[in-house]
Amino acid sequence: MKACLLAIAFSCCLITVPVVARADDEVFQWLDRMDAAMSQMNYQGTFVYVRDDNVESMRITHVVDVQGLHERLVSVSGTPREIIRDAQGVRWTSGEDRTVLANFGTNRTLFPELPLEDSQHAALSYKFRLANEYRIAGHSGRRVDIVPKDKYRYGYSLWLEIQSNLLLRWELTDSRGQTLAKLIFTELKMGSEVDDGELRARLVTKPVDATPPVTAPTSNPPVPWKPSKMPPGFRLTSHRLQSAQQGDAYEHLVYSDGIAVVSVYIEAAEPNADLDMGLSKMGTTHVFTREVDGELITVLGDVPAVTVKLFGESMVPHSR
Amino acid sequence: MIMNPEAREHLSSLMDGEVSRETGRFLMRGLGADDGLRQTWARYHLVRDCLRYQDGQFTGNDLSSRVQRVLSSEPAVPFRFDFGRTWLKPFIGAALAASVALIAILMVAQGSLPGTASPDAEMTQTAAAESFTSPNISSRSPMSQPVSLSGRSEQDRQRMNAYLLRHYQVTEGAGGRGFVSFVPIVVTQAPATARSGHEEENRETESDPR
Repeated sequence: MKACLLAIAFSCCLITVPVVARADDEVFQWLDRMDAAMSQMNYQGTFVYVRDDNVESMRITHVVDVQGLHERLVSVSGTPREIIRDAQGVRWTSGEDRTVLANFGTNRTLFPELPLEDSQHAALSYKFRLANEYRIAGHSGRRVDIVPKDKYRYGYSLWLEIQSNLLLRWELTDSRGQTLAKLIFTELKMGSEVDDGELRARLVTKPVDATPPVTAPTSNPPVPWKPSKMPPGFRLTSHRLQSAQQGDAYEHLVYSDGIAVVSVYIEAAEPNADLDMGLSKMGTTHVFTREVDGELITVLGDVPAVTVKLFGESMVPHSR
Repeated sequence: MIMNPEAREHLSSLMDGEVSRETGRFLMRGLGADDGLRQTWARYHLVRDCLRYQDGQFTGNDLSSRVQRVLSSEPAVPFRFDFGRTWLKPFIGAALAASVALIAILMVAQGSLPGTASPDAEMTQTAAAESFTSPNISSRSPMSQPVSLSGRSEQDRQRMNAYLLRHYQVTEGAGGRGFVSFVPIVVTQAPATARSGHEEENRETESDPR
């Protein structure tokens, strides 16, 4: 009888693990479909972005045709701001002096080696849950919760439209589940309902002083710096050297846990430069800046302060 | 027992695994107590086996009744209070839970191996070697100053703008989040940014993962 009980207990163990794995797989399928929908479908809508006491209303128009991506993200309330994305890259105007900042080259050409679908790796640092159906902006949605396992990363709740898998609502939470920011669509059109006319730039009207297009590296340059320690789950996913011919020279190291992304920029420190050092925060993005051995190290990401600080303080030359 | 059509439909759904957890529990309780229900259940299995294995390789007999008969024929074991075994129960439960967790970790770790090649093997090894420890709650929080780009020097602002734009391009590709990655950069430009946003990091705790 005792042997029977042990056998049953062991069988339960063996059964439980695949059930958990199947649940994760279902969530990953939803996330994969969301990725495809967000990048390949045509959609247009108005959403509110809420962070602390700030409420911003914005409008997104996303069209994909034979020429590739055409996207315009524009603020509806407050100071006019606009981001235009297309096959050439990104152009962004700040609302204050309408300076146009451009970055030519999409993320796929900038970082071709970045693993886009890395759900297995993300499962080390997050728990995934599929919740019930909700209705948002007249659409039925299914909620996916991505819950961090520790305090080095944020969590996400995504409400996805049942039919199209488009994002209806998005929430950023800290490790205790407190909401840090949320994005909710109040109106969403898809497919032929999308008005292409809204793609026309209103603010990005000045000629852009374009930096040369960045091409993919033929080989990976050696990584000159590395963190002596970093939060669990993170790993180097990309490394790029921007040469002086392409603008300011700097190294860009990208670390990811499969969901969160931390960028580490390393450049030569200019003497007497007027820079903000230490820890700072812009919206939900934490920034840590430090000078070491004549090099300026800047770490940033939508991660908790402790994470950027840990990366920033532990970066050492590779030879050390 | 005369079964109503609804009960038969539920039983059929149970066989197909299409009932809710609560209905499933209710039916399982019924199967344990109701001979008629059990016979119907056995008949459904027989029909299904006939359809699946038309060469005659089906289970045929009512398995649940046979199990119940075997259990009934076993001599009853008198209940005996055994302190030594009772106090062990929580530990046995914990040991089982630990073994489940260990198996889950091993399976996830195995699943993460294929297709996870990194451009820098040494860094990957460093990251993989990190132990997954819980943060130390009692240590002090790092304090960050909420700032807006407009409050920085022109040189710092331009540098940070370029960094942010490139960072969000990476984020867009990494998480499949599309335009959502660029929303913070638009919001960051709002003058109101400098007035708020310092509560969250106070809740975060600093700790050393090693």
